[in-house]
Amino acid sequence: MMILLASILAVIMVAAAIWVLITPNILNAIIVFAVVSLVASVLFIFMHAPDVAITEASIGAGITSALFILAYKRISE
Amino acid sequence: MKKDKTILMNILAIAFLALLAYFIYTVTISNDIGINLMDDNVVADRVADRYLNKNVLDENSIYEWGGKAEDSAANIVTAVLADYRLFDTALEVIVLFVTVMGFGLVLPDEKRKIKESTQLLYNWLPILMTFMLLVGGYMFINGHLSPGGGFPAGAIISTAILVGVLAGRQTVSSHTLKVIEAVAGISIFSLATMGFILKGSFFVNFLEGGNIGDMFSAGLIPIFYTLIAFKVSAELSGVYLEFYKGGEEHDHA
Repeated sequence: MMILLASILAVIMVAAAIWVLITPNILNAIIVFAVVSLVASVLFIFMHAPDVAITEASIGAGITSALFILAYKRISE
Repeated sequence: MKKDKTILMNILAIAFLALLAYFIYTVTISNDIGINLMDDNVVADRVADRYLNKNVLDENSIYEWGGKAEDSAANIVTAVLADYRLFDTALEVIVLFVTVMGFGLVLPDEKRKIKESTQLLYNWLPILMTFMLLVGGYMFINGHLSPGGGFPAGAIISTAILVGVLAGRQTVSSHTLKVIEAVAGISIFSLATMGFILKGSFFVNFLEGGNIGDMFSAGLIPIFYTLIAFKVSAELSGVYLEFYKGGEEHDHA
């Protein structure tokens, strides 16, 4: 059961990563990039690494996407 | 012609990804010692058992000073990270500091007001920030007992400041942030130097700790984590405020 869930999450992660590469809209790419990090942090929890999961969720999903969005808004002005 | 090459590169990249996925899959389902997602094994079967073999609930499990460094904290990741590899985190913090200086150099220095947000976010901000600061504070205070630690705690605290920026309130001035960052940074390296003077090596954990699993146990680790959390949160919040430079107190109707 756990391996099925992990496989589904991994497929979502790879699909999101490909989407980041091919989408023409930069804002979409940033948000889907946050999804990649979030799924990665869930997978880290499955692998019994809560410390890494917390860091990935806060820095990878939170701060990186916030900084990307701020910089994108700044550039597009 | 160029188009054909791009398609070939894409096919190659997907083939490479498939190969990687196959290897990750074989690692996750294998029954050898290593990464095992299924987790039918008990912890005692693994190599990590040697490190995890300490009982927090046992009242007699006093960590004796002079033993192994990983005996001091209940959370083994913290013990390794903050006793053996604190140089790593300290230099990461310095890298972050240089990044913030680069932000100040690259971003144009025009005055920019903090944008108006919705009334809902503006009014709910104190409650949201309270919860976010509570989570962050818990994470660095309990860093030696439970998952977490200084760096992610600082990141979470800085996201509280970020929500403040998004809501159009400047909750902290950038001067205060600079003072916090400087004090925390100087304290980290003075403590490290004090360890060098007292025990002969940099970043050594020279305070003695009590029972494993107590609030005040792991010697210098909670102190270092507190300082790192403050420094990281001040640096990252400085980055957000850099985007809204000169944001004077925005009066909301």
